Amino acid sequence: MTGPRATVRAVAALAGVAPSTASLILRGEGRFAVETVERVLATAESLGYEGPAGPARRLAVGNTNVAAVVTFGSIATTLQDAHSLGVIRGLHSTLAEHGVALMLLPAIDSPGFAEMLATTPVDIVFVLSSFHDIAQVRQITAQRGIALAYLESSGPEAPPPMIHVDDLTPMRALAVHLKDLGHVHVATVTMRYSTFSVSGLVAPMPLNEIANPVTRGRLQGLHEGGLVPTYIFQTARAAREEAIEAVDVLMRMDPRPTAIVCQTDALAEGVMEGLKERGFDVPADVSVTGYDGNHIPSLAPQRLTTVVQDAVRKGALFAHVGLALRAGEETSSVPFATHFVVGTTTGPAPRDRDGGTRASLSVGHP
Amino acid sequence: MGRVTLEDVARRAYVAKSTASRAMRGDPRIAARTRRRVTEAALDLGYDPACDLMLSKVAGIVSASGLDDSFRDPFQLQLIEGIADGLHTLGMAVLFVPPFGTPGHDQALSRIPLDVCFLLHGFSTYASTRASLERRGVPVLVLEAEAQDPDAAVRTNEAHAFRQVIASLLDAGHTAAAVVALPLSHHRMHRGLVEMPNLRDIDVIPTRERLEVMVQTGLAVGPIFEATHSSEVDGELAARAFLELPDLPTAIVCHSDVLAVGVVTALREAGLNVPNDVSVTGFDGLDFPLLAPLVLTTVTQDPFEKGRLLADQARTLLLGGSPQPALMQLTMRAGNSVASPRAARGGQ
Repeated sequence: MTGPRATVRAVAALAGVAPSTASLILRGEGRFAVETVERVLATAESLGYEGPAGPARRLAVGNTNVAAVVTFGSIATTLQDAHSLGVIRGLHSTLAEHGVALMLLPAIDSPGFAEMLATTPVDIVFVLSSFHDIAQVRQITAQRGIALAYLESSGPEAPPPMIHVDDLTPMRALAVHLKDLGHVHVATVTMRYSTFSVSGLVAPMPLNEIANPVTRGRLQGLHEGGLVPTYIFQTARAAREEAIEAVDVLMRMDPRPTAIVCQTDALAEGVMEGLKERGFDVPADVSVTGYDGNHIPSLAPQRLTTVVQDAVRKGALFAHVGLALRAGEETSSVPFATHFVVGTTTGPAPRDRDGGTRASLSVGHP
Repeated sequence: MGRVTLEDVARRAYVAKSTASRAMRGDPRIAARTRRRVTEAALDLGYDPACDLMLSKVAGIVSASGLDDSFRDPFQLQLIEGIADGLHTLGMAVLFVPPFGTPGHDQALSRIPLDVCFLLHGFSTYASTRASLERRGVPVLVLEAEAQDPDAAVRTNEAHAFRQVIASLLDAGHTAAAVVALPLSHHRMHRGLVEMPNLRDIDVIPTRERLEVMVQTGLAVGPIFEATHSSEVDGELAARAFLELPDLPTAIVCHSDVLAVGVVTALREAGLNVPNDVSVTGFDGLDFPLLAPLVLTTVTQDPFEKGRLLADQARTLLLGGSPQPALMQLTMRAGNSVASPRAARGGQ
């Protein structure tokens, strides 16, 4: 440690405000002119002020026993996403066992978000999803001295993920499974792949240039398993509707893909729906795989061949990370295993002559 | 126009700001007439109480059977989404109250500042939870309420719509139907065949009302399979139990679409066709594109919209008003999952 610990008094003196004013601002309370708030925060940062120490910290933090979840996008989008929902379920149940209630704040980009995060009595903040700018969340939680837990992080100096998900092993197994079934021309429907946020076919690029690390990891697993996708369809929002569109594009390609590897179950759900509408049979005409393994009722009676990451268990782990941080413990990246599971949506690759003739006619193959 | 403040409301209602503030908080010292005047002024001006610092801007959601059950049921999940979406629009956060029996439950209900609390299920039986909220002066909105409950948040024509589903089975020539029922009691977990219970003993309101409709409409209640959750697994187990009976029912009435999907899946696995071999009906109006060409005959409702309406009610409550229960129109959706019984067709 370098030099003595910065105190509120030191911050106040340098910023030219009363200690009580500095104290309120640093706790995110009270109402002051914007310039005053900015000056105090900048001063605190320059002095390396880390929040109240020891007993004072406990007093300031208290134990409200409320944890906040920070989401990106509307609550409906978050809860409709099987993975996010699973993580929230795991958080809710596990935190409840520790006497902590879970609170859902309005989305990070909604108008009152920052004020709410700065004033709501919470002990722990859980950032759901990843790869968004959470600088503001970092700043506010640091000022308030409350624990901040996140799954992954992004950016050039991003700290390591708090939960490390192993994507490579199950994606390798998935690749081997498809190869064993005789699939050669395989398409993949991905989350963000290129730096442009557009929906459509994209040209393959070197793995290390893929913008989204999750997309990169999952593709790397496929490559390592010996399966390099012939077609890559990128979605801008990983939305089901985009996946339905992907079917129209991919099933007109020549050679036609015999399997579609989707990077989320939600995308697979859209692909399955699109294939059904176009009269393709799964898996006789084309095999489909997902990733997440959260049960999707609307796929009944099919069961998706997918990689199961037990999101509820992930949420439970996440809860423990947050609780440990609140207790002031050091945490390191927690490993999290996922498993490849064969369902009813993959089968042998159709042969050129007898594979899906009825379906290709109905699509109007050029 | 700038933000509407409490002062604007007070001026419009011809009262002092302090009086307006007390009226908003439901202070008993304020006459009911004054309180009403303040509420009306606030509503007229579009005053947003969530912007007011006297509120904690937090609304609770609690379910007797635990929110985790609700998260797993697509219908209830959408309802929660609607409530949360509406509250977020008001600038409020949503607190998921921990389930009964966990250390967090009592703590949340006794210590966390809440402006309003939604009670989703089973609160006709869990009077203590409700009492502890009321003691703190936290207004409640009850979703599954007894008809006479003053805090009932929703009124539906559910019985009317469900009667039409049952009528479609009678019209097709069925005289009896097996039932895959939602739980009969909040106090015990049971999955399996049960005897027809005394309707008065059923404390889960939707279960009771849906069985009541069958009895009133004159479709005999055949074997009943009690589910623990509205899940496909429960539906599949129910169908397998019915398949083991000496006489396969000609129709299966399911208390939810998710249960019905499980029933259809298990019947198909047994080589049976819906509706030619067995008719199946659902409840909720969810979409299952992969069941196509089969479309369930069911009751449709819009749970997301229902949730939004509930959030609006919370707003009225926070303004000190007394919200009228939201009226939800449910309608029957005639699919193609009902046909006449095989025996009747054979006789033609």
